[in-house]
Amino acid sequence: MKLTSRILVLLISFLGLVYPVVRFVMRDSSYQNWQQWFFESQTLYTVRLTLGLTLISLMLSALIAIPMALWLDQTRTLFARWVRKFLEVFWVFPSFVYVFLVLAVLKLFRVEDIFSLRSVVFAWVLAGVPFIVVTLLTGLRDLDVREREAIQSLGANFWDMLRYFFLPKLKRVIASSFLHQSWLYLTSFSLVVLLSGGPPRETLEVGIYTATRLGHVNYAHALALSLWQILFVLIIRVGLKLLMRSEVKKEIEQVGIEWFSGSSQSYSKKILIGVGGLALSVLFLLPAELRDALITGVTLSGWVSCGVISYALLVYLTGWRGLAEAGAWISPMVLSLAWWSAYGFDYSPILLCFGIQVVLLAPWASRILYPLLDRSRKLEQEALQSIGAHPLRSWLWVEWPRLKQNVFWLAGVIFGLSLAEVSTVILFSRGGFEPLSVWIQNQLMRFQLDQAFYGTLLLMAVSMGAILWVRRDHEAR
Amino acid sequence: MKQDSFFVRNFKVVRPEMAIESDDFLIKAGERLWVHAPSGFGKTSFLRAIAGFEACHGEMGYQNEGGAETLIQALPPHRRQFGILFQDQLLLSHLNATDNVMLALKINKIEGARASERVSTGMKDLGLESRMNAPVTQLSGGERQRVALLRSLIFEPKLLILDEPFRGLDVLSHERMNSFLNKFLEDHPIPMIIISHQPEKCDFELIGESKGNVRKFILRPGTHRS
Repeated sequence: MKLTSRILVLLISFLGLVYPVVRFVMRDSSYQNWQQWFFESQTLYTVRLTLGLTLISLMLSALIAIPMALWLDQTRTLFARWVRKFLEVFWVFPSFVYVFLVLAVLKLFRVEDIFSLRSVVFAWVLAGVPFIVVTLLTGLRDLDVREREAIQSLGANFWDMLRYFFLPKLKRVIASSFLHQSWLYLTSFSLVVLLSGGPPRETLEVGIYTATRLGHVNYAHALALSLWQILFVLIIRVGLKLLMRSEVKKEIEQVGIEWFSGSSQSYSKKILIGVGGLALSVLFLLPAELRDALITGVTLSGWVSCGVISYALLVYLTGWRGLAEAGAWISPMVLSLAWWSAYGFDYSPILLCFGIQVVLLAPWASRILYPLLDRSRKLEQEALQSIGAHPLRSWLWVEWPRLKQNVFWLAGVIFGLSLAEVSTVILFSRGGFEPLSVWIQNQLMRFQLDQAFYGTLLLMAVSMGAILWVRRDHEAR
Repeated sequence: MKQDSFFVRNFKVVRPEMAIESDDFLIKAGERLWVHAPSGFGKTSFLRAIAGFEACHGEMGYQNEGGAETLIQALPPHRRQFGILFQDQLLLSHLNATDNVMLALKINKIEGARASERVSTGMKDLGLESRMNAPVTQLSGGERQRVALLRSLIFEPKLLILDEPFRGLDVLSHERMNSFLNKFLEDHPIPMIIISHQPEKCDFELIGESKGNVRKFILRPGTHRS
């Protein structure tokens, strides 16, 4: 069993990561002067712009998110509870939601130059604040209340608590959330492509896309940008790895679990059935183009969510859990480009998109599932086996009731993330294969805002519906 | 300088499943009140309510020699000037033993050479001089308890509350803590509340008695007078 799973996982890792990336890097060997190529002025401009935007957005997000998280943690009012719940859901929303929010706010304040870098920063801050707040809140929730009270009893006021308790206790959680967030900024695609106003104002992720997709293909430039991006992602991931060593590992894992199993809404079945019925009837009323896009997107995401969980479980069986994390070491656009360069258009686009997304989203599954799987109740399983139960059956009786809600919830989240994913799909979108996310993106590029808006609403409804459906009785548990 | 007395009047904690009440009491500076009751009675809740971490009814505060009272029940926990030794010590795991003690001084704006001297003397008196820079996680249970005791009284609070201070300690640690505590109270006579299952030297006792859903602490003269 272990040997078979190891062979399978090695094969998947080779085909999914190693082979495409090697092919991608080896594709063009005509770079005579590598220094001139790697440090080309246009490349350096994109690198500086990406870093600048990332740093500014990160600082602004931190300035808002840290006080907000502390306030939400200390406040027990109904308003604070709703803000918390809203933020818990808000961070899963697809990029298009932020685009529309930014456009609406800027229109409201009659800002002249809407499509600019300022809008990108605004959108990134909007997207970043919920993520950092939710992470910090889970970190805060993890702190021992009695320890906090002990410091208070010594006479500590708010600033003393912040200085001597919250910041030292949370410094690793804060650092890891910033690193995660900077990684998300670095690999952000839709927000930049839609709000920056087009070339040359583009980040690394968008630069790679433009160099391979729009107009003439400049493969050398795309490769240079990709290598820069790989370098940055590498630095961020190494930073995260270092942070996750030792005792903080538990903290980060706990954060992951909290995200997916924390307190949230309980929704009645009736409402969900009603919403489901309404969604089905809306499906028949949709224009054919949008309905096809929805069905394609839902089919792809459904397969991806099953594939991700199966792959993560398979990797767990091998004992080489680092392999499930491998997808987090590379940006979605670079991996798509690598797959494109390795497999071209010889295979079905849905199969290629499925493969890329399984590799890319597997780290989410591993972070949630592995800590849970690690806490397996071996003694109870052995007790059942001692009365004649097969090991698999004893696992199902003991572990599955404990795990199933998290697995379903994870499937819902992966489904939502996959449904909103653009950068791994856009390169392969052709011949009628146009999932909902790409369809919305294309509408936005053509400035058909009405259609894009309805598409976004539909996408939000479907992904939220999926997430809420799978966690409908989470509270009861 | 003569320290203030501490008093509690009409104390009551109301919860859906039960209520905790207490007789009125006044502990003069240097006096000890021993609180004892069966496990699960609500001793720690009583302590938390007095410390301000749980809501309660009634009045509490300090009374000076002239009889003037300062009520503190409306103050947040950090402004009540209590020193509390919690049952689980609750030391900060990211600091070492000295820093944990020093923290109490920093918070109360006692810094510089005076603070360092006070900490090193206290650590020495408690037999912790070789463990001053040890991370909290590497301290034994008895050592942690002594560090926590030092932290709770080093800033000279106006009331000292000790929750199960000698639980699980070996004879040597018990002796050290006890003699340190006695010496401290001789030098700084402040009112003290001890919550413990063990008989303690005291001037008064609060004994827990259940009457239906009401759990009441009854005040009696101390049976093990100090």
